[in-house]
Amino acid sequence: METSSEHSHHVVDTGVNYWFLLLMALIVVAVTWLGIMNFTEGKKTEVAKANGEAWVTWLTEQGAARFEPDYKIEACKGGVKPSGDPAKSDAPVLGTWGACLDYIMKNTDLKDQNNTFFNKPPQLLEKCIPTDISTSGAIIIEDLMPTPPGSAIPFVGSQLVEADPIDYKMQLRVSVCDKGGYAIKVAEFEF
Amino acid sequence: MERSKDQFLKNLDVHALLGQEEKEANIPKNLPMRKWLYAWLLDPNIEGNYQKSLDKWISLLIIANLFSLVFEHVPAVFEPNQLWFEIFDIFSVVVFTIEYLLRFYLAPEDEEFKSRTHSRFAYIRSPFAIIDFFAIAPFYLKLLGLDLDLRVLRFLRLLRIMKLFRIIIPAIAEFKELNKGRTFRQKVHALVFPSPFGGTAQVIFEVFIAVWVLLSVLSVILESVHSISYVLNMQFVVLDAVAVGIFTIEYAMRIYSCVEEPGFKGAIAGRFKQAKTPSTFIDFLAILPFFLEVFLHHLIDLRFLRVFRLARLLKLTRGNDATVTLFRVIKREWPMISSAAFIMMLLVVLTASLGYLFEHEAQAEKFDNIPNSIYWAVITLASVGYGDISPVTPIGRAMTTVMALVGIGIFAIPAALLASAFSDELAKERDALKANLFAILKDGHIDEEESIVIRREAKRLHLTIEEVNALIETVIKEHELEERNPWPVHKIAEKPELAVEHFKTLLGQIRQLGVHTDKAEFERLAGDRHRLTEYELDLWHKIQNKSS
Repeated sequence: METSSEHSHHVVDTGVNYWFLLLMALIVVAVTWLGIMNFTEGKKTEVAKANGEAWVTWLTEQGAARFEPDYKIEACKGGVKPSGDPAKSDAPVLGTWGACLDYIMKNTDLKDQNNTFFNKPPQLLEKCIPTDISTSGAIIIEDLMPTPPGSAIPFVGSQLVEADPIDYKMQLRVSVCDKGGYAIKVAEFEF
Repeated sequence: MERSKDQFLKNLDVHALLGQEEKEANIPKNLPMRKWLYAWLLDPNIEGNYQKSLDKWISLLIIANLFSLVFEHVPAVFEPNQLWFEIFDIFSVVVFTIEYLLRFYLAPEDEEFKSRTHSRFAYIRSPFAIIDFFAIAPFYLKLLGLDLDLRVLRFLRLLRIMKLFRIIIPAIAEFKELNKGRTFRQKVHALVFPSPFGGTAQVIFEVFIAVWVLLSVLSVILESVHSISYVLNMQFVVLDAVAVGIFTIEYAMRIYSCVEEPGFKGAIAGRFKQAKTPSTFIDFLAILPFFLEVFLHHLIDLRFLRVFRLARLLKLTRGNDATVTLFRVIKREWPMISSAAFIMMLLVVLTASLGYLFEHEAQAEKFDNIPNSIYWAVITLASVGYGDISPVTPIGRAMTTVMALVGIGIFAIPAALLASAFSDELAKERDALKANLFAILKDGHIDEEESIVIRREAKRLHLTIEEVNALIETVIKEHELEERNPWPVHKIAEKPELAVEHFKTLLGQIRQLGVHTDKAEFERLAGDRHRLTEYELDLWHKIQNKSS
């Protein structure tokens, strides 16, 4: 006759291993949590891109009209030569990017933008710096200067600084810095 | 008996043995239309009909619908291609409607419904039919002008995915049946590792992982395209998280259940051994960048890690024996390859030094030092020849001409070594299969386990039916040869089945001896001077059916 101890050798545990299922659940929770973290960071980059796009929209709209005689915004009007030496003047000089930027930051919706990486208005920087994450969410506006015919690259970009004259049709590029401090090109357009 | 063995080998159906049997459905042409249609299109019990193909194509269309639904949520993709999305939607609905109507029409032939009073009504009420109906209903409701909320419509269309249950549910049932009475860990093992207990569910699991690998790699590649990543950035983030979730669960399942694999016993040692295998290490590399990037991105720039997500593609090499063979060949030929690499390195350094010596004065900006000249030397010796740096002095050009010719030979050595070693390895593996076949076919029959071995080996070595046939021919010839030169007793003793056969043959021979010899004289001689012991003589009598 088979004893109970002999019988127990033949019993196969076909039940569910709850420890393993718990581990699986933990993995799902951990990956979901990390995924949400990534998603939140990604959203911040999306907001930075939206900020850049708003600059592109405003500048493109003005670029199409600022050489018209009845253009209203004097600070950004095309064809106006700088009225003084920006280096010697404390106030923004008409005909320069400084005057136009001053107008933008005082009178348009662009002044209310938020850099969600730091919850403060986005900076206008010369370039994104991958080693410096404080540049995350910053906006880069570059003036694209055409290179001589035959050059390997058609344009050379340089930061648009306040003293730069804006009396001519300009080719601009707007980029934003992502969470790692890398530049994301938003658009190239005429201003 | 030997003759019947050879007859067995000659009549062996290799197509059936390799599981590549192309069975033609045996469906009579004079069947009534409905029965005939059901037999060809929907009957799962008839081998060789179109039921499996139909299921496969419908499944692919459902998966394509899933992708279409996802991309409909991406305005940048959806808006310019709206027309194509609509055409695809109409096409899908037409196919699904035809399928629904077909199943409705053929319901009286279906085993599940034919016994019911109203078989078609029973079909309509069945869960699969309800899913099928909801998969197409939103389209017709919209067509009828019913003002449904777009989100409700999309949700209803999402139900199309549930049509996949037509394949998944039978696979689960088969898996349960195959794993009846087995432990939970054994079941997980059967799902994750190829084994006789996996069935269709294991294939579905592998296909599922492969689809996610391809999706994930495709997203890594597309992320590098600015115009795409700019628009689909968030979708890529979500996709990566889901892919990592799936791959992490798969990794945990492998590590948990690997102890069921032969050679991986031991809760810790076995799992550690499994974690160290190349394929599992690749699985680990596939998920590592995600976790590192999440945890460490504030400390260091880990953007470069994203490229390592492409390592996920290596997951597809799991189960690919050609990759294993290639690694084995490299490992085996490593001393030769490293010698060739050393000679290559010497040649590169020599060429670079001579280039620097002869060209430095003429082109100081290009050949400014030996390390910079190494770039030129490699490009020249490997026959790439970009032409951005080239010699201008006569002696420099003469030296380059000689070195470039030498380089062709030296740089080709590792490739030639690998090619010949790979070919040798394949020949060796085929010889091993031949030996295996010889042993398997020797006893004149092939059991289920042996046919699995043959099928697996033939698949691994990519052998065609003709090649397996040729191997069997060789085995038959060698078998005939062996008949003339029988095996030594210790070889026969290694296989109990052979030993039994040999024993029977020996008994037969002793009986034949008894029939043909002079029995009286035999007994006299056997008893004379005790040539045979009493026991031996008794045994002789027993064999001759003359018990003393």
